[in-house]
Amino acid sequence: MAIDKETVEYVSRLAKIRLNEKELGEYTNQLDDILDHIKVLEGVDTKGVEPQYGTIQTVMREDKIADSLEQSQVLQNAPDTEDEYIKVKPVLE
Amino acid sequence: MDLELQNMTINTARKLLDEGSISSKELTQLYLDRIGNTENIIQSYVTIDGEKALKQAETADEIIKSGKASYLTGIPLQIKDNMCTKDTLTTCSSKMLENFIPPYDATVVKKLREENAVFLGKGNLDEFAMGSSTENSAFNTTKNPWDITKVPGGSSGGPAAAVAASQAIASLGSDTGGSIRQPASLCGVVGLKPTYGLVSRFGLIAFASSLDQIGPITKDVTDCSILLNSIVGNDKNDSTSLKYDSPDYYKNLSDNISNLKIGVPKEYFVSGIDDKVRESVETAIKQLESLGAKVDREVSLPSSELALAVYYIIAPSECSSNLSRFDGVKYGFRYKDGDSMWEELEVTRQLGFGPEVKRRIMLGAYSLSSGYYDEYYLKAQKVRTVIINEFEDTFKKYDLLVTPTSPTTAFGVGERTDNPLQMYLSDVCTVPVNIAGLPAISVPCGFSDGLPIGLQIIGPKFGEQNILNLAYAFEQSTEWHKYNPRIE
Repeated sequence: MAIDKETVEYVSRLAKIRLNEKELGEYTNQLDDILDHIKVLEGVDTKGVEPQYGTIQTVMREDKIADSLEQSQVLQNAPDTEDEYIKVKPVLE
Repeated sequence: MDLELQNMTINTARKLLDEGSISSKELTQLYLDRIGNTENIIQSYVTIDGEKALKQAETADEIIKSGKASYLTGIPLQIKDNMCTKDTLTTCSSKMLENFIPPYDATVVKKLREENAVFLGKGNLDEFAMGSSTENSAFNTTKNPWDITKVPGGSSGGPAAAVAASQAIASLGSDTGGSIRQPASLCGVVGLKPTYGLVSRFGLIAFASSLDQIGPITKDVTDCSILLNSIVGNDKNDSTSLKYDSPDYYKNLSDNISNLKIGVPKEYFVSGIDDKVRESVETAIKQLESLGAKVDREVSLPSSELALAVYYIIAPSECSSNLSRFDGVKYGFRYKDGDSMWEELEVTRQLGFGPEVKRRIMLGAYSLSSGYYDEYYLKAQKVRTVIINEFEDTFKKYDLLVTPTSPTTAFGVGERTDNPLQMYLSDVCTVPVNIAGLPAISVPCGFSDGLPIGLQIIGPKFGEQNILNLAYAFEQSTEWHKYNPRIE
């Protein structure tokens, strides 16, 4: 096995996705299959090869003030708001 | 009237609109009627907005009368539902965004709006564009117009099926690992994935940012060149969009291909390819030769075989990062019965995302997590360099490469849903192109048991014009693009 149930559970906590017991079992098997396929990369000689994170150069821009959306537009899709704030349940007890 | 719509292209509609033999409002109504008659079978739309479309058509008609029409003025289009449309629902075919109404337009949408194109509605997709069959849509499974027991491909299955079924003249798709070309192939239409950075991605809901690119899905190559003209260009809102002076792809379209050197990479013809697909693509290659192209069948791109593995590390990694924004706080679905924000966040993501999206987020989070980063993510980015270099070397010798688009024709609805890895394999010929940021098109090149087969043409960066010309020469010398599915 490339990945076990405990690791999948750990990863689901990192990804902030709750999983039930059935999902946990299914994902463990499926991720194992996929990782098994990905193993072909192990055999590739990449000594001295630089990683390439994309196919273009990163560009910089000037830090200039520009128009943005109206506050009402920014809030229009929030599930819960109060006055000009987005509302959530307590983060810290 | 249906019969006429089946052969309607942007090019022909433009002539009819400009000479006044039909108004945009009449044309739009014809498409809305066509959608009304076929949508219960095909299900290519997530949202149909007839009222707004007819209003846009009225405005377009005034512009046409004033003689100020451009190529897309009054042309009824569909847009894949992962591109933001101001004040019109944009769902990504996900429960997470079931009620999301963007306060702004994606740049591509804005460009089409400036031309007064007509938006019929939003095309169905695999949730967040993750999939190869459109079965991962949270709302419905789009059917292949050639055989409704088959999938249309994915993730732009809605756009490809809509164009094939004449439910829109053309559509915009997005392509991260084949999501324009594979469904275009499976539905018998034309689909182009442009060079990474040629088209702005601003307002395209991100899946894998180093791979995603927007492109046209159309009935023929001419329309593809017209629609491409309208969406290219640098955009200050997308720092990955390039400053490149694009040619007029439509005006420069030419069927003279005698100066083109074509390579056929053998790795794209090996494992898992249908005999009939191989045969059709080989016949197509002979056709290109007879049109004057110089073909070399002994080209080798060995690292292309690693592309799928590279893709299934890079794409999920970027997806796990991009999709962290769906937390039920700023927009989208929120589970509201938890005791704390953290509990609500975890359950929001459990219930809001479908199985494939969760699978990819977790695969990505795993590849990026401490202890596995070097083994998976870093290794994949190094192999990506190898793949890029190999393409670059190859394009020193050849102008274009031709391959099958998909190793098989459309597969059955439900046939691959239990086996994610088998589903992933249907992108084996298209994924390398995204890894290297290259442009590629799929054009119809045959049928097997009544199901379309696609020919993929790959070019170097900014090779769109040569790609379109080769595709055009092939198309104009064959009949494949003239067939239409019968929907009943």
